[in-house]
Amino acid sequence: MYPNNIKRILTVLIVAFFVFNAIGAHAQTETQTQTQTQTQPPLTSYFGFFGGVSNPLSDFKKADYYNNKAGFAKKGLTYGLDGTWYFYKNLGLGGSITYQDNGELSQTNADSLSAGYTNSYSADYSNVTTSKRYQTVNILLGPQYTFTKGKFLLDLRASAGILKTYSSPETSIYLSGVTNQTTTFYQKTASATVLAYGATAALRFKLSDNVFLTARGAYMGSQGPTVTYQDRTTTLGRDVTRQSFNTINTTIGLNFGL
Amino acid sequence: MNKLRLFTFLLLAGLFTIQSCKKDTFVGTSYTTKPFQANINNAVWAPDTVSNTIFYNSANGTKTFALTGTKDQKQINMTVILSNASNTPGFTTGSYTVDGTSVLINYNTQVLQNGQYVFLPHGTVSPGSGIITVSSVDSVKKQITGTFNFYSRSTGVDSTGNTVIYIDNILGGEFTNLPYTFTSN
Repeated sequence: MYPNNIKRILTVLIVAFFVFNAIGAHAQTETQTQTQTQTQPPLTSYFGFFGGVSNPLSDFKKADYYNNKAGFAKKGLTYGLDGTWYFYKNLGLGGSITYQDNGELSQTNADSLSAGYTNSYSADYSNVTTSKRYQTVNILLGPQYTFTKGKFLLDLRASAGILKTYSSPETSIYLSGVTNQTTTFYQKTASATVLAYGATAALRFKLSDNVFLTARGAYMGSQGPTVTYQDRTTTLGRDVTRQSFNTINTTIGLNFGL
Repeated sequence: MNKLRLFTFLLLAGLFTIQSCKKDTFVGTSYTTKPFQANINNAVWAPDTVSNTIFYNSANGTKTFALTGTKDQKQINMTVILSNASNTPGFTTGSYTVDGTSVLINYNTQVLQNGQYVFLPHGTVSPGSGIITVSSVDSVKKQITGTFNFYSRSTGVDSTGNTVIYIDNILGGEFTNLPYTFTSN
């Protein structure tokens, strides 16, 4: 389906598997060599919420008419829920549901696209009208390991899941003086559910027995939804077939022990 | 603790609602940057087929600048003839007013005539109704820069049988560093 995504997800899962085994083997060795070992209970599972800024990366961030992968995405608001269930000592299964907004096309972007289409089609002039914005929700799940040091806890998680795109920027393009493209055509907004993968690092500070203040950095990548055109009778210049997503969300939040 | 969780849920719901409502529309407009273009009746027009020559006729000592552009069943051609000219690849800069003899402009449209599509003048550009300005000439690179404006007048009959006059306004015409070929006999 999406070979690159599947490879990445498999890689993450394999690495997680070996980490899990290594930790298990290390624990087993310790058990054998220490005669008075006491069984350490798993860390306290938790859930919580977070909010902050979603930062687009690489092609998703670029604003280049001549790069078909450029997403013209912007910094935006993100928030969501996050939790982890510890099933063995410091190892748990973490999950998150994240809403993120990566903005809309700006006036500068509209002018840039218009200049590009005018040039590509050798048009006398063009009008590009932009609307809608990137709005997505991703649900990611994966193994998490937590390091503890005093009142601080460092969570590292690799995850995979889905990205639901509710909307992406839509453009309508009118070209004047192009014989084979006399009607306005549209790059339609994309709405789809696709695979996604991610990695999270979070630093938790213990405010009380069951409340943590958390600073979190979460990367999310996806090949993104398919992009389609309507009424485009002649294809010249920019031609987007799929809009990939790459973001890193920097957030703060509160977590509550269960 | 329950109150805090309820507050969290309400905060997230509120943020989602606010963010979902924020939608803007922008319109970007871009005009051609082609070196030869004009506004024909308020619509930008940039020909995709261009012929641009300067010809020196040693027999009568004239030099003729002839520029023709064609696109979408429309054509503009202009001619400026200098007398007592020299056999050099340049052209004298200056403003040349349409006079019907040595300075000519035509606005042509494509029509079907005797089974063939041909370009014919769409009206008449009378003396004094147009001007061509040659602002610079690079005789080494063979590039010419200038502007032009004119109107073409034609007559017709409307649905009530009355004679009406149609005006085609060709304004804001420009040719910028437009390459030309120089020939002489």
